[in-house]
Amino acid sequence: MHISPYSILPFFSSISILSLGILVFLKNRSTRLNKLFLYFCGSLFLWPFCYSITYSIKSYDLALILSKTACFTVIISSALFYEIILIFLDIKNKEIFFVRLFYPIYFISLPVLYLSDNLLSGVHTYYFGYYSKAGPFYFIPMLLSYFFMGRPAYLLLKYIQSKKLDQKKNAQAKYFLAGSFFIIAASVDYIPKYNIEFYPIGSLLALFWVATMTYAILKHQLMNINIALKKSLVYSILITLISIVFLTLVLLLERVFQGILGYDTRIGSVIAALIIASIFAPLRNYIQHFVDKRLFKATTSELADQVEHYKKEVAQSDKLKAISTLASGMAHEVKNPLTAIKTFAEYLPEKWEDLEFRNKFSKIVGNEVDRIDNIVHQLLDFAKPSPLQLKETDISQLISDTLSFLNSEFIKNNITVETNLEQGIKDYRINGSEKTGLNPLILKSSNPELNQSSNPDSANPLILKSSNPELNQSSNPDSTNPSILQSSNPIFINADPARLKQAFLNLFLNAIDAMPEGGILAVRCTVNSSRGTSHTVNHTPHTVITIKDTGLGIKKEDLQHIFDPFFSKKDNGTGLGLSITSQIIQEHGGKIEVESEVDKGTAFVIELPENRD
Amino acid sequence: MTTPNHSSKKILICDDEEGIRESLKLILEDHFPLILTDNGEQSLDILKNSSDIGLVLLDIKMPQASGLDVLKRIKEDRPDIQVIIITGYKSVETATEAVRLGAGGYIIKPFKSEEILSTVKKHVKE
Repeated sequence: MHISPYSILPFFSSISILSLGILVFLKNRSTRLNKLFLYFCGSLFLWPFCYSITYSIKSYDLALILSKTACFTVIISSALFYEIILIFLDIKNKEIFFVRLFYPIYFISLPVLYLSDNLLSGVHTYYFGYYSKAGPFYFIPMLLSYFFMGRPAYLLLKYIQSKKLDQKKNAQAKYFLAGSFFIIAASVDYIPKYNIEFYPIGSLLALFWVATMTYAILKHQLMNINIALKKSLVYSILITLISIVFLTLVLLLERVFQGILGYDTRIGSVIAALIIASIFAPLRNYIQHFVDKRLFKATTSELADQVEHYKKEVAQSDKLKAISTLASGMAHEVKNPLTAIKTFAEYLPEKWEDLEFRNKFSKIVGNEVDRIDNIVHQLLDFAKPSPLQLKETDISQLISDTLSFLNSEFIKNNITVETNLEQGIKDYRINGSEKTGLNPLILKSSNPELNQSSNPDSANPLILKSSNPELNQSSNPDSTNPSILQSSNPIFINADPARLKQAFLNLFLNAIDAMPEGGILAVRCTVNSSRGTSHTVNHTPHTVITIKDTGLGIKKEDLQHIFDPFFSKKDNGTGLGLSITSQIIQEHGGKIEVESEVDKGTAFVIELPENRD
Repeated sequence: MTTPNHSSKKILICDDEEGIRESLKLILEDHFPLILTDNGEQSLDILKNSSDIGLVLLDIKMPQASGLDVLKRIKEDRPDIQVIIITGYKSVETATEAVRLGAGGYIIKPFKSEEILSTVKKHVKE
């Protein structure tokens, strides 16, 4: 037997179809859908397979039997396809009964079909080999198979249009539909049966169907199959597939050159090969790129979904981590005051008469109870923040108010405050204040004792809340004027002023603590529409607030933990101040970053969006 | 009331938290002469200038020099002085590190008064 080059395409196509059917069945044998798919592929396989033989053999009789087999199996294939789609779409009505009734009728009438010449009357002898010749009643099975393929395509279309919530099934339905178009298009093979000499390219379209189904299986777990693919395998299959198509196209073009245009030399073949090759290389690259993109890289929306999913996971694990840090931190923070209270309680009966002990008892136990109370309050603030009360807030004014509130602390600690609000640096040193007529925020303390008695817990806004700003005003009549920064440009953002004030308060208190020997606290506030913080670029308008001190700085290894709840390096610090600050900034849709150098100082950069929606 | 055991060697208590410092004082003052400090630097200064300190109770978590740093420096300057570490963390690593650096033992907060007393007595005898 001489193997005709025209046999290659249908042969390869038939093998692909059969392989797909076996693969689907082996991966999931339990469902009727997968079994049906195997039967479908098995019957469909016979169609190109039989023709691949008829193109290469010389026996007319054998060609006739094979042609009949090819034609008749197409009918049962289309019926099987119909049932597959009905099952896939969960349609369990009379339709499925009708399809199943068709199978026995088909098999009973099969011998008659073979013996009769009315359906297929013989075979044509074309340039590519023997091909079936349509008989007078051939249109009956033809129309029947059109119905069997058209009806499920219609049902699939209807399902997709109904926009069901099951995204995966929707995607699968789309691929089934695309696949069924290839199968319907493959009916171009009917044309040569009516005496038109035309190489039947149906097997090529069947290959496209295989490709579509394979893609749907890999990408959307069609037929409930989950396969992890190796890139190299996909490329090998792809190259083989394209080579087969290439070879077929060369043969076809060669035929055009030699037969139709009348060239009878090998030059025609060479030209055909060159033409195809010139299209082939970029096509192969394009397909490789396509496969890479579609199969091994997710689409933009899929990536976005994945990112969203991972974000949620990270947020969840961060939350758990925060809870665990919170719990262990809480236990640790409460343990120390409890130890003191317990020890003093234990010695109470023994030392009752000792006046010094009683005084100490009162002081220590009172302080330690306050400390626990403070921890509990901050914890509540941290764990159950009240919902934001957003309103148009002048951030410059808010910063000004917060700084004014801390005036006495700045004075006590020898701290100079410099503010820069959009329009140049305003230096509120004593001299400067005289010139501008503004009250200085910074005054050098004349009382060395006050300098030493630093705030015991500066991260604790509760303690400071208890101090009275009015008292500050009265004690420093020159130094406190809430309108100090009003002369600068107001910067309005949508924010919760009370919460933001708390955030800034914590940062300023930290700065005070970081500068036990005094120093400079520089506060800068700018509106920016294109600049991000050090690591990001943000194009929406936002306010950038920089709070910089010239204090002790934070060690590199501590820097990554400063926003962790209960992380503190300070005497009696609860370690919640910065956690709360960071939480407040995040609630406002902003972010906070920190840069620090030991012995040089620390800078916090806060970015707040103009409008939080 | 127990008679104070005025042994010649003093105990230096170094803890930044007043509550803990005063609690340790309450437990030990009737048994040993005590010196109280709230930071590592001050403790090192005291150790430099006095020869009658036999034991140091040292807190691990302190704002400036950490307990482990202070321990290291005590052992460099005065290896004869016993150091007991007080830690709030039930951390094997911290305790191991302290022992490696020469600590005679460690006490985990919250502590019991008997525990403090027996540990200190044991180390003073040694």
